[in-house]
Amino acid sequence: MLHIKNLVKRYGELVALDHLNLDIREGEIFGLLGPNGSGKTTAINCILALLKYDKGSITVMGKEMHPDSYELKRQIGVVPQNVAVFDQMNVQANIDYFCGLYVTEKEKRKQLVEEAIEFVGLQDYRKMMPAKLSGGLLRRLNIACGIAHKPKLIIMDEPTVAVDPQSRNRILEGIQELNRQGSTIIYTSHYMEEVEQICSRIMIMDHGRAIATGTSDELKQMIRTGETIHISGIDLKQEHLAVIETLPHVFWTDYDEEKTLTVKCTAGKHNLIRVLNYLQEQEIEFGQVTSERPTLNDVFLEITGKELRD
Amino acid sequence: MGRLFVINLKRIFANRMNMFWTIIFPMVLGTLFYATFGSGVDMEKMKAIPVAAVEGENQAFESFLNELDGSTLSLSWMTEEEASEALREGTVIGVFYAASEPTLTVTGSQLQESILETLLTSYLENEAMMKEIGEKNMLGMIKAAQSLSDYSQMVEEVTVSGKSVDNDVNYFYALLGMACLFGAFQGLTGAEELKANLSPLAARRSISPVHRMTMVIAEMLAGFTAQFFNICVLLIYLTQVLHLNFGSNLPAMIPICIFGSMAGVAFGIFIGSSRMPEGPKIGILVGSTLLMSFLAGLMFGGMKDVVEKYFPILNRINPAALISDAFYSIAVYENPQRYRMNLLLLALITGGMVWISFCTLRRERYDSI
Repeated sequence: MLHIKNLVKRYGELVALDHLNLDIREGEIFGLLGPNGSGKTTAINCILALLKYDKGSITVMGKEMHPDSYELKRQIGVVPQNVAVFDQMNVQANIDYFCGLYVTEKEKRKQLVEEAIEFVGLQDYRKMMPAKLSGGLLRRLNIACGIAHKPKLIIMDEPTVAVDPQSRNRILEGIQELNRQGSTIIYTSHYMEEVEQICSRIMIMDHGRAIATGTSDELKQMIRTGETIHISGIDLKQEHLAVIETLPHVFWTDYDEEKTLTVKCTAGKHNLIRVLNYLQEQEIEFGQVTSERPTLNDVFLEITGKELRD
Repeated sequence: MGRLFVINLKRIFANRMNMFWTIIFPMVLGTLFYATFGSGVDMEKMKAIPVAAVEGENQAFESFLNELDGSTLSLSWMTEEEASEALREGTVIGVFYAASEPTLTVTGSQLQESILETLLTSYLENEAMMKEIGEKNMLGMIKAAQSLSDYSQMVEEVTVSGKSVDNDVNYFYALLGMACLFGAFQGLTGAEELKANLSPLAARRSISPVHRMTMVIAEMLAGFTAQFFNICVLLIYLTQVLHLNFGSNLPAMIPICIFGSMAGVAFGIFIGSSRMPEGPKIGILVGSTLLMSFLAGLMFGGMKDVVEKYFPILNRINPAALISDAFYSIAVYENPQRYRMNLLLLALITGGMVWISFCTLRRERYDSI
């Protein structure tokens, strides 16, 4: 569906995309993860032929993408990071306008606009002006404007930023539905759980480079952390901590001022039992115990070495 | 293209800020002018210009001046010394000398002086025409002489007879010029919604499969049309609500409104297509529009004449001055050549701005967004 080879984009001295390679298959929801300035939006703008790039090639549906690739553009839908609608037009008119840029036939367009309104759940707001909509509804309108013409490839650049949980759920369900209807989706987000929830494959970007690509499970296997154990309300001495660090698969421990012990282990069986057995042997009392499989956030932190920044 | 044009037009009319600047503000200003000057502003009202004349050997010219006495001119026959004294004291605007080669002395360069100059030029042109006819055809000479003896008819053709010399009218012409230029707001918004590196909305439109040229042309045409409509509304307001009398000049004013609107919108597109942030752009737009209107006489009626005296090129490149002068050309000077020249200069300035903007806006790929 989309093939990017050795893409290089520089802003003066700054290398925004550093030999980026990317293959997106037809029918998948592909997640692009990365902190601010990692190159996600730059990559999208290059794909859409809005930005010039210094080196590399981009092909969409087997054809090279140029600013005048109007037939290709007809099959692409974009939901930009910032809400991009006309303030002077109501919800329905906005969707009709953007759909009309792709579909000239009036009857067909009317039907598509209706479907898009229903799809994002804006039936009760069709005559409202954008200024009167809440943040979540505005985001839904932004999505409807990008997908009304039923494109084969949909690019969504952080469509859920500043959206309440209800609207976010609705949006995520909608994206999965679009995918079921046959659209290939490129989805960028700051929210790890979203990406993990809906994306079939994920690429982690940083400094304009693709650091890791794979399914959520594949990415988790790439990192050292296989299990993270938290034990609260525990009184530990330094020598106890030293012993725990020597247990099989344990590679990192932390004991904080709130008397919580955190133990990170590589993937393996009975990690939690071994830690609890030791505490029992030493007759050390403890409170709540949790054991977590690594999240995408752990993957991200371990791979990029930094927190995601909003 | 048609659909985009119609939607763009609707969007423009739904933009309250643009509508304020392009319709409401000029109407309010027009009403304030009307309240200040009263309903006495009448394009067909005559105010005789006080002028002195010194007798000489040119009896034809003397008769010509006498014919105008009481209508266009308030004529006083004086000796040369008396006339010079009156001019110095300002009791007369100019002095005609009825020598074999008639001359005019004025001390200023404002509207009334311009009218006196036009009168003299008209007389000299007719005199030259008579001589030429006489050399070629004696019979024609007699007929021409007969027609020349009927000065009222000649004056009707070649002078400003029956037209206004009221300086207050200047404000309304400058107001129309300013209103045309306020079309710049349409242009600015249009340009910003076309450049992908300026707004997310423009980026969204840029990635659509509509040909870039179609998008740009539809936007420009909608801007021009909306602005022309706005000016028509303003004209209707001035003539039908405030009852300003533009007389028989109204049809000739329409092309000025068309060219003026195009110049205004083009100016906005020109500013809008630059890479500056929106805030400074609006500042520049409002500031430069008001400055151009000031130089065209919006705040001080004689400003255009002052510019004409000290820096005439400004009046040739200032769209507001060109619009105002075009109105004057038909309403006061009755000078079609000057009228056409003003429209031509407006068209050239508009064309230049549109071309530069077009080159910027047609760009489809950017170095950065």
